[in-house]
Amino acid sequence: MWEYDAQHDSIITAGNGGTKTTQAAFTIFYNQGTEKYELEQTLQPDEQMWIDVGKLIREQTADKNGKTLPANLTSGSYEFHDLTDHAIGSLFEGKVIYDKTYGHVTYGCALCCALNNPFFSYTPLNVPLGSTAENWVNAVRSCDGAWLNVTSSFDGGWTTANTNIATVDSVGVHTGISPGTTTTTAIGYLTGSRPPPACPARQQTATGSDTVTPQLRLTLGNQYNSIFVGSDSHLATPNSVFATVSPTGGTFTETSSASGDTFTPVSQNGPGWVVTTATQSASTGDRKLTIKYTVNGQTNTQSLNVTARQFAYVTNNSLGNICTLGYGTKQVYTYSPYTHPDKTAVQAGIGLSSTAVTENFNTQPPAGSVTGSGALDANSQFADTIAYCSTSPLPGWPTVTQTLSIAGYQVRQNTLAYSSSGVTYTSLGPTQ
Amino acid sequence: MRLPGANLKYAALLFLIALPVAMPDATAGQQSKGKGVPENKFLDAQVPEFELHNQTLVDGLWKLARTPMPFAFGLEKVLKKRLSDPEIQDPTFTFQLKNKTVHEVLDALCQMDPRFSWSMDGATVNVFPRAVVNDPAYLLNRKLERFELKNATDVQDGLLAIVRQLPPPLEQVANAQIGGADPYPPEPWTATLENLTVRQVVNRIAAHGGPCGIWIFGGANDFRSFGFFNTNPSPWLLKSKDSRPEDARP
Repeated sequence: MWEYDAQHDSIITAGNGGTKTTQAAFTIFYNQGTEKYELEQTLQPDEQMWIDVGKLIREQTADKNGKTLPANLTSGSYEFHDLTDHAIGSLFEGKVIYDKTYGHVTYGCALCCALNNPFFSYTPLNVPLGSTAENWVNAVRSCDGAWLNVTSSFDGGWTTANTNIATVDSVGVHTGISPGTTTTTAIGYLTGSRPPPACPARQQTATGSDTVTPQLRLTLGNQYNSIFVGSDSHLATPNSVFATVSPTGGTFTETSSASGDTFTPVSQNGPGWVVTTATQSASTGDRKLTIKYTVNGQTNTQSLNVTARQFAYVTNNSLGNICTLGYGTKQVYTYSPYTHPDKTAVQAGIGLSSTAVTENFNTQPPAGSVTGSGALDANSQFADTIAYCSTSPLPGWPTVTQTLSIAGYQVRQNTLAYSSSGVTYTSLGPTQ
Repeated sequence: MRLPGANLKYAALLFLIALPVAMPDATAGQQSKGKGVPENKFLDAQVPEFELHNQTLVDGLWKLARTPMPFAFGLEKVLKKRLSDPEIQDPTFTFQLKNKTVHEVLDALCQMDPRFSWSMDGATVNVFPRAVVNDPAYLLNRKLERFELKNATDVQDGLLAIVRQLPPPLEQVANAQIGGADPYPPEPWTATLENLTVRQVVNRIAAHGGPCGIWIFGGANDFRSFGFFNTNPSPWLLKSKDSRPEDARP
């Protein structure tokens, strides 16, 4: 508390009682504590700062923020704070209020801003198995209830109850040893509430729990974050999710954000699952595949965001007529598939080799024509031969509508007009 | 039916399953490779489950040739007399086999559709109508004492060489198909083969495109056509496909 009027003035001092330079913050609170006036000063060891509150008011001295104290201010509270060391600090302070009329002098000391009730930033602290996680200690400053990071005051004071589950180093970095739970205790020294000059530190303890979770890393069977809609067994490669875990021997739970998606264990290189879906994504990356792995009651859950792609349409090219038997035409078309929802071309090497390409016809091809199914190749493309090529003149035939499907999904219709000179091909789309 | 190679253990079984049929390709040149690992080893491969639902022998062959070990086959359909005749309806059947060998499944298919029999020529399974086995005029039974192929880059080159090297009159053949592809190595192929039937030559022409080449022969006596399908990546094709062909919008 300080006073200033025609009869009183207050002089406040703070000194650095430590052995290192420190930064002292002095704050005057007024208007029922709603406003404050702030000064900062660097203090060398044994150096003191002197604050004449009356002078600050009279001379309208600006604080570090450019603010001045109201000229009619007569009383308020104040606080010193060691900005260099939140936890303990090295400031001591004193105050004198003198009565100019009667020569009465009041000596006083402010209360120490004690740091109480240390607590961890995280409890429980989740520590991945074989990896590290850091925790911090905070304390409540008695003067204003603020939370301060006082971790440095607990250096060297960290221990865990069960080092078979987790260990902790001198500065609060935990290492997961095996799945389970344990507790951590941190012992340190924080500014106490006993009177100055040094606000002596007192030993305090923080406790909390630690949870060590098993390791779980997921990888998809392709590098494009895609899975493919359909039940063709050859979709298994890109549609596989593999889990790398430590320790082994736990249990898995698999879920998808799309109801109806199923997970079938892979036949090799597991643990892993082949995801089968019948529904395409509405937008890129909206399908969330989640795997939960549990060991000793501890769980690690990881997810992959993928796009469920459905074969939608194809583009093609051809080298032209390659019939060499004398009559007719032979064209070999190379088709490249595209997928919905975002019209993405299926990437070469994504692992769709042998995925079925089927053909259907609304009127049967010419007698003698052989029809056969194809399959996607390693480039995720397929070839389609339209041959009507003979060593003798060809009979005519009605137009055929050819429907191509990949993994059961229609991607193209063509009309094939047969004549004695061969086949004329026309695309009916779709083109997007 | 005779199975070249060392599959005598199946001979009795086959004898019981199928009516004895003279082997159409029982010639000295039938096996292109007679030493080392048998080319028909895949016949002993186990098929964990094989199912057909109202499907034909052709459907079954396609399915079987893709699992568990892909293999080459040549299928000769029953030819119509004339192209204008109604289509010959292939019988359909439904059955399920478990833990059978490829050999046993082939037997079962030919038992279900007894119009057909099968044999081996090197690594190729030939399935053909029993009715043509003893018909020397049947195109695929015709003999080529000496067959020369020069700079072939397509199966059509092989077909043309066959009809040109058979004694007159000139046989008609066509390549009429929709679907699949029959890629051929880019390097021109020159070969001389002796004492082979047309069937065996077609086997070799198809096999040059890849080890699992499939060919199907059908149509009518007055319009005979082949379709060629390479359903599995050939070593030469994998090597030559360094990059993906440019796409072109339709």
